Amino acid sequence: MRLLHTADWQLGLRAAQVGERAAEGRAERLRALERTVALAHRLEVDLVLAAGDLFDHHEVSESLLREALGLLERLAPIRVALLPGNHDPLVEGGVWSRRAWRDVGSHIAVLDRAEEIEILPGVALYPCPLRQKRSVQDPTAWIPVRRKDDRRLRLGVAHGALDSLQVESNFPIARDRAELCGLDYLALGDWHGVLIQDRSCYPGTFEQSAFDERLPGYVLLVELDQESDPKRRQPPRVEQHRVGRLRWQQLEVEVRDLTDVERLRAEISTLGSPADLLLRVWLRAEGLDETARRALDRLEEELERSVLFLEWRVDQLGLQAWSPEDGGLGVLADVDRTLASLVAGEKPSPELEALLGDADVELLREARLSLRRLAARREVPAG
Amino acid sequence: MIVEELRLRHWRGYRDQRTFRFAPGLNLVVGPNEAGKSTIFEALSRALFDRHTSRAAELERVRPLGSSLGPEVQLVLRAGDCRYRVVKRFLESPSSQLFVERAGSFELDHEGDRADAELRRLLGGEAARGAARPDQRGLAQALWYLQRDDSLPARAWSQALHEGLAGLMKLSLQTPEQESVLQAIAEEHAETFTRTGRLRKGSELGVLRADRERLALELSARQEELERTRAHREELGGLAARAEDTALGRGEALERLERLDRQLERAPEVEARHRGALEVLGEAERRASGVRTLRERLRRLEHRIAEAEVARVSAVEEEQRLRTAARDLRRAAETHARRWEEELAPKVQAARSQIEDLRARLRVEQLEREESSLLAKRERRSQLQAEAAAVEEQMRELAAPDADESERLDALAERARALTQRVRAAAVRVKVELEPATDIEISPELQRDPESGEYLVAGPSRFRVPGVVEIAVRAADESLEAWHREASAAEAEIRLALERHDVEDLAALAERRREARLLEARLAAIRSRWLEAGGSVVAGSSPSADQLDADEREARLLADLHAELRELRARAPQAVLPGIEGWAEHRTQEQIRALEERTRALERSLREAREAEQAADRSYRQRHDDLLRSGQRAAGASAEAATLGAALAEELEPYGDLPGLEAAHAEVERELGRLRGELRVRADELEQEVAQVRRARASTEAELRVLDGELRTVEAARADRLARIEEAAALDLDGRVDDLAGRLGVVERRLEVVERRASAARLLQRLVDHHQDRRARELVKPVAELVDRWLGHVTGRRYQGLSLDDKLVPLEVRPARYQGPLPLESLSYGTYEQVVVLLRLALAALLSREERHLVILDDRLVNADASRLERLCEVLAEVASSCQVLIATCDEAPFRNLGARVIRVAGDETAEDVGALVAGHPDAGLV
Repeated sequence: MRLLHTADWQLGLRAAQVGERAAEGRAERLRALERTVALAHRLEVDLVLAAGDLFDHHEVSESLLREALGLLERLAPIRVALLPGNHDPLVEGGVWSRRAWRDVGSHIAVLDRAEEIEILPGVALYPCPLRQKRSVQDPTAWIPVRRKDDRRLRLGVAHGALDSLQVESNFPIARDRAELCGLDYLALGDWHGVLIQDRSCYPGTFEQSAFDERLPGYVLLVELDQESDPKRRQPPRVEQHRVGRLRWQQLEVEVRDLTDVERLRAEISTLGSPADLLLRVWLRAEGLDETARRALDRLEEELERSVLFLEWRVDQLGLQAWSPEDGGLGVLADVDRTLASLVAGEKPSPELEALLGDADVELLREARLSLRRLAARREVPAG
Repeated sequence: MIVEELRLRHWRGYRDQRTFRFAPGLNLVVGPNEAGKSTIFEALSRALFDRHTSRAAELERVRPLGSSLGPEVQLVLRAGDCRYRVVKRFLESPSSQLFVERAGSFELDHEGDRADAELRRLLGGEAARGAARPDQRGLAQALWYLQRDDSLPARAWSQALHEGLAGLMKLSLQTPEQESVLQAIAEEHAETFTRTGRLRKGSELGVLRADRERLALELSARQEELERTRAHREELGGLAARAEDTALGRGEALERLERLDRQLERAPEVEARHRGALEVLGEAERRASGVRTLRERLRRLEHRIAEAEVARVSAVEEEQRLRTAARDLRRAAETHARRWEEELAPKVQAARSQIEDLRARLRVEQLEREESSLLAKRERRSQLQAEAAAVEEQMRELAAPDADESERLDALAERARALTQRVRAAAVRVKVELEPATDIEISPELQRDPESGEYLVAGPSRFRVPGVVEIAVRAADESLEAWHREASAAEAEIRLALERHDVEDLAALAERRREARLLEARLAAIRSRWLEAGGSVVAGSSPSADQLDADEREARLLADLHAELRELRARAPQAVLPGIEGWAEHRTQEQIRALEERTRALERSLREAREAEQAADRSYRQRHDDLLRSGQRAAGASAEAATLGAALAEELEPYGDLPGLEAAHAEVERELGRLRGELRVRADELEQEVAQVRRARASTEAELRVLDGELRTVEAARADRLARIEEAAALDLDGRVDDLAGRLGVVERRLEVVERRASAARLLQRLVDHHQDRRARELVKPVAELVDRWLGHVTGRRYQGLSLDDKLVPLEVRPARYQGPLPLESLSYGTYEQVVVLLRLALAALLSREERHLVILDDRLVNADASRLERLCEVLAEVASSCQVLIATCDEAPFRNLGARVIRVAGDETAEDVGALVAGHPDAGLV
């Protein structure tokens, strides 16, 4: 038997971080679902199991819901079982009670009760739907232990944190639930990256949703041995399939000269299509010369134009001071020196202190950079 | 820059060319007042700063008095490493030339305006127009202290002075590139902020902040809407719990209802028992009621029998009484009848007869009087008739016209007269005179005026003198002829009337008419009397038809009268008995009236008697009727009593008798009491086992209804909240919130950058300002130090120093004796002048560190006392070591030891200037 295990679609997840392209960002998750549907058909699975958090919240728009249901309709005749998670728990007036669900095909089952159902002939499914956002109860606790004479395939589907993960225990799930209850497979959701622990697996979210996720963007193809004697069955065969498009990349780099800048550019170019890239770059720039600084500015401008989203932060660690002797820089050199000394933590004179107001080091750095920028633009020989 | 030589021509007192040469150190220009000392400095100033083309009024005053000559000036200068020659002429053929010394000879470098500009630049002069003014003189503003110059600038010394000093101190004077950066910093600052540091309208920062505000507001509004949806969901949770509770309560109520229904299963049985008891009681009640009714009826029957008996007795008694009364009444009626029949009626008859007689008597009397009157009238009428016939005869004889004819004739005569007069007035007058007189035949005859002898021709006429002539005359107007004809006709008619009455003229006719009227009056009187005598209207000699009728009527009247007399006399012969003759009529009348009165009294008595009889009769008949009715009532009452008695006996039959009935009644009442007790037991049973249960059931049903209502309310609320949630979902609030948040994020990120950059720009600008200020202060410092040293020395340590602002303008002096500084204005004029001079000398000394500059003091030390002047000279000597100093003075004595070149300027200005060689000065000497 082949099933496609997916979870944490987080449809309707807000994408405000990509600014004016938020709508595009939201739509991307639907495209991932579309790819998942296509994959299910291609892999000829018998069942699609979605283990919770299919919707990011209950306020998802009607159009999005109907579009998602339209995609699920396309899965027919494959059986589809959908589990409410902690983001979209079964509550009155929640996303699961919308009118749109009344029209869905019979191949789709919303797992709204903790009771055994025969999802396919000879396949018993033990759903553990969530009815609230937080709880310290194990939602799988109700699953009965396999009877000796029960030779069916027994599948569990639940949303929560395996207690082996040692994360904050919202809906903790006993790590040996599958063994304890004689489940052939326990399909889990909640963890946003692929995690396979014996028969208990997380497919992770199918489209990355944050910078700090590990192994996102996959669904799991699970093949189960239907040997009549449960004891002689092979363990499930689990295969990862990528359906996600977006990549959230975070780079923390130190830049000292033009070579470093070029290296950074090369590294970014290996991250794939910029259009799919959400990029966070944190730079530590120290003693950059004008050429390097200009190259860095250019790189930022290019990325700003090309990637889906860019967060660009530069920590200026130092600039060479202008020499008071060279080029008669006059007041400019005075200002630069003052800023440099203040950045270095020197205490300002009372007169200066009044002038600075609540300016912090960042602002002082920025002011010094501005000075250098303006000086560079006017071709003033910089130290 | 220093000046080596100055030549003047056509310049105020210097009509002819004059040449002055100056030493590079100290020079004294000595001369009395108005000798032309200041003219030298004026020429110097105009040569360096004025445009040669200037036609300023001041320049006009430069021409020698009364001349139209163009003032000329020539200068030899040394600036930097070069020597220059300047040649300028003003007003007349103005020109300007600048020569530069190259390889020992002067070459023309610039001419005209260009030469002017280059010269101005030498001392940093600022503007072409009005360039000779102190504030436009560049360095010379401070270094040259001329007559009429203000001692200090209003705000600041010229830019050239600042730049000069700064450059010397290697402090500022930015290169153009640095200037450009400062400009860029200022521009970046100005992109966001105004000069006063406020946010500039329309700046990116302002726009972004406004955008952020707007987006944040909108986002907050959308989020609130989302929150409402979440709140609806929360409410739904509560509503679900409420629905569950209600459903639970409803279940319990249903169970209770079921239990009560089970209890009510016995209800029909209990109700039947109760109904049975009720029916038995009802039956007993009906029976008791029958007995009670019977008793009642029997009582009523007994009562009515008694009543009937009483009525019968009463009727009998009444009958008796009525009978007696009727009899009495009958008797009374009969008495009355007898009385009027026997007594009153004959009396009345007799009285009436007597009255009749008396009336007949009176009538006879009256008839007889009428008869004699009628006969007398007949006699009189005969007489009057004879008189009338006589008068009528007279009138016939008189033959007078009647009134109408008389009137007509009068009118005719009047008309004839009027016409005749008109004809006479209008007629043609013809007068015929013939010689000899001959008879004239005139046809027709014409009237002739007796006076004039003229013929009056009123119609066609012929005058004929036979055998001679015949003249036909006629009037031109036809009406004349008509009038004439009419007058003639009237006169003819009058004549005929006169002939008819046989009188001569109209007067006689009138007389006759008057007599006729007298006769008519007499006849009228007769007729009047006739009528009085009973005649008819017309009375004449022959009786008229009317008269005949009247006579006949009179005869008939007499006949009737006689007939009535006869009848009366026949009916009452006694009335005409002679015996009663002499009865006066009035006595008879009185007798009649008395009799009538008596008759009326008798008739009244008779009527009363009759009425009494009739009343008695009516009463009798009434009593009789009453009697009959009373008898009937008595009979009826007897019969009713008998019937009732029979009925009573019949009703009582089942009970035997009345006591039997009473016993039966007591039994029925006892039975009733027992049955009522039993019914109470059944009713209690019904109340407890049925009614109470039913009430509980109704209450439970009501409760169920309430719960159902509650459920419906909750369901409606749930449906409402769900609908609202669906509605909100359809609006894609979440997507809009996300989009807004996205846009807000973009704005905020950009705002962060712009804000940081703007803050940096502001900080940078502040720092630039700060350092520029500091530099300005650094510029002030050496100047102040030098002035302080000199001021202390000159004033004998009275003042320790001078405070300057950053523009090098003195603010106050620091006296040695006082704690605080003193404002400059509080100094004496002499001291003030010394302070100003020292400041200018200090500026000159500093500016001349690299290049010697010219300092001019035009008679500015006159107010210094001897000791201060002496010390000032020491300062001047120090200054002169690095500067060229020109001092104008009237008195050279105080400066004698300074080793200055002396240039004397005489009042008459005839000779060349005389320079005094001062020992020790290399350049000093006579020119």
